[in-house]
Amino acid sequence: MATQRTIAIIGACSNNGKLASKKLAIKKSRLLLLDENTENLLMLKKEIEEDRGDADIEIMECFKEAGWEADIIVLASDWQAEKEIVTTIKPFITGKTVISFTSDNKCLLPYSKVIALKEENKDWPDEMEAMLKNSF
Amino acid sequence: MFEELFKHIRQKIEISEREEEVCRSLFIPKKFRKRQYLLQQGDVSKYTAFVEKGLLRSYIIDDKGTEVIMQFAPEGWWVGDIYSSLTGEASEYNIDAIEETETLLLTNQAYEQLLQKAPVFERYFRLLIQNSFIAIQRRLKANIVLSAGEKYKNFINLYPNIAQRVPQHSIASFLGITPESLSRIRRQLTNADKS
Repeated sequence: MATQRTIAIIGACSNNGKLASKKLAIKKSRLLLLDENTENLLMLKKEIEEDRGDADIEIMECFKEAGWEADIIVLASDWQAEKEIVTTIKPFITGKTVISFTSDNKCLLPYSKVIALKEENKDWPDEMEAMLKNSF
Repeated sequence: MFEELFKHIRQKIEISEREEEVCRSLFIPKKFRKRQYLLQQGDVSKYTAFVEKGLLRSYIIDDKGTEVIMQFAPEGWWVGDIYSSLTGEASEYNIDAIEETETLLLTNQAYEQLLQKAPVFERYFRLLIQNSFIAIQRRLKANIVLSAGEKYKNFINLYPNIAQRVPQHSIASFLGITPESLSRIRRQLTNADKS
């Protein structure tokens, strides 16, 4: 048996966000999807659910709440928006694994376990999946 | 988010602002939904939890498939499976949320770091373990020698505001009696109060 893990994907409708959401929508994970564009979120949710019937997906609005509930946080918004979000959720993600596409978050989040991926590296979704397996 | 924890700590030891900061850098804030698991039987326990708000319970499932509640953990309580955390062996316990619950989690590693960075916590945790030892002795004694009625009174003393928050069968499960006996005891106590 394995306890369910909760993954918050912030900026789920960006390119990286979509790839991450699809990769992580596996059994034993609850996905919390966040994005400015609710319509796109609903579409993404539907798309993943059609592909994977057993996916547990929820759309959330509050970054703070999502970060508080999550064990793993994927930061996939554009960098300008992200800075502000990171500051908001920082106290709620101490000790948690954070997937980021910029290494700047390592300085901003000294008490979280930041894994910085390079989006140029096309294998990053697999790399991410492997790293999360080890960290959880 | 840390109010209850710091209150709990300050009832036992004095801590400085720096030591508060050390806590903030090591405890993992985590919110659980109703019925969400912190630990499931068969998994290795990774965290010990302090409850800031809400209510967790730890229970085992016996041979007949019945849930036996070992502990309730409301606000200001610690809960976990120390044996599994320390040995790395699979846990026999389940811990889940009866209400939506806000916790602060401590991994073994963070626990060691806390003691290293703020040694005053050695005293805090010694007092906790002392209290927990006494609680276990009392529960053991209650199970061996006390009547069901006395066990229920003990329960009300230990958890003054839990009786209203959990279903009756959970209390019966904690006390190791049938729901019917519990209902009889409660009736007797109410009648005794009236007369």
